[in-house]
Amino acid sequence: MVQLSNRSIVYLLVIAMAITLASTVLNVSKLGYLGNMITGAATNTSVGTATLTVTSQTAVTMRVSSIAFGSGFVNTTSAVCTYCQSSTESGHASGNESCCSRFNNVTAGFFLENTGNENVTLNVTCSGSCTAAEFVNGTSPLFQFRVVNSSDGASTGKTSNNSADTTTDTTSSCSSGDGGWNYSSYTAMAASTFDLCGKNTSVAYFFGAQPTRNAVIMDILVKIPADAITASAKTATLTFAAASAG
Amino acid sequence: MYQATETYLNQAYISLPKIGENMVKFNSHAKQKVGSKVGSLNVMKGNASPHSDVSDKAVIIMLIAVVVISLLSLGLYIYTSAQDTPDIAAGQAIAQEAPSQGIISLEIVPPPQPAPIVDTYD
Repeated sequence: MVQLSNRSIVYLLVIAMAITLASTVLNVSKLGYLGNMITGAATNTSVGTATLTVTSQTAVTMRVSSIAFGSGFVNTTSAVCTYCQSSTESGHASGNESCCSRFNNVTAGFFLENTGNENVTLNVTCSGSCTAAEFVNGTSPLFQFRVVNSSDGASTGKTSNNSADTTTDTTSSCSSGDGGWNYSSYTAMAASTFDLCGKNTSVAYFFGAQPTRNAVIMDILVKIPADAITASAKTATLTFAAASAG
Repeated sequence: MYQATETYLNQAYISLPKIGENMVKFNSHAKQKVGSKVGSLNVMKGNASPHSDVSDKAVIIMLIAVVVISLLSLGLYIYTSAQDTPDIAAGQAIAQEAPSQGIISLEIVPPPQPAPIVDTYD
């Protein structure tokens, strides 16, 4: 057997002790007993706060992002046709179908789904031809929008495009806070920003993230007078933005 | 000071005491501990039998194990410290989703003019 002197053993012991001490100092200092390494440590000894952090994700996905009414005209050869009215809620207005010549019969509004795991705000900003006069023109035109729950179509039996939903909504997606979706009735489009869910503030995080209450539909309505003519295709760009508290 | 260290009887070497002091007594036929104080001469107690006490080898193996375990502990601590940073800390700034855009388009064209009535009868 190889003989090791006591001196060698002492060296090994010193190394072991040094390493152990270094580990201990690091761990203890990490716990806050040495130095101020925990910035969020409680300072009031009578009240303690335990915090659990779950990774948050803020994401809103647009399932339907284009509404093209196409190119057409009001069928003035019919005496009853003074306008063409169409909406993504129900397509061409009932009884008015023959007046909307060559226009696309669009029955799907913008569809947005909160695909993150945080309740969010939701707002929309319009740019481009945002007013009825710019987008349609003519005498007494309409260019309006409304915001409704994805679940409304199923509950009312109306035409809805909620088939785009990953999980079909069964209840209001903006039921928290107060007021639900703003602009649930048709409202004139304008070149400005609209807070859509809950209060008219940018910190109303009420657009839900639960799969059965996380989708919203924005319907668009246009009323095209018989004397309306656009020199070219008009476009309005809607920019949707969402924010969470993190 | 003279010293005899960790010895078995059959491997022992014992320094001679100073003149006039008692000799160390031992039984060369029996495996038993040896150790006695002879004047100022300290004869360290060794392991007379491998079954009666922990051997030097075992002690060294244990010490080496302690060093290795300590190093592993330190390495694990450094590794986990580098890994446990949360992706998003509590109280962070508001997360902003990249905006999505929707396009609405419409074109209104003039209605086609009715074809002129052509009288084919002269």
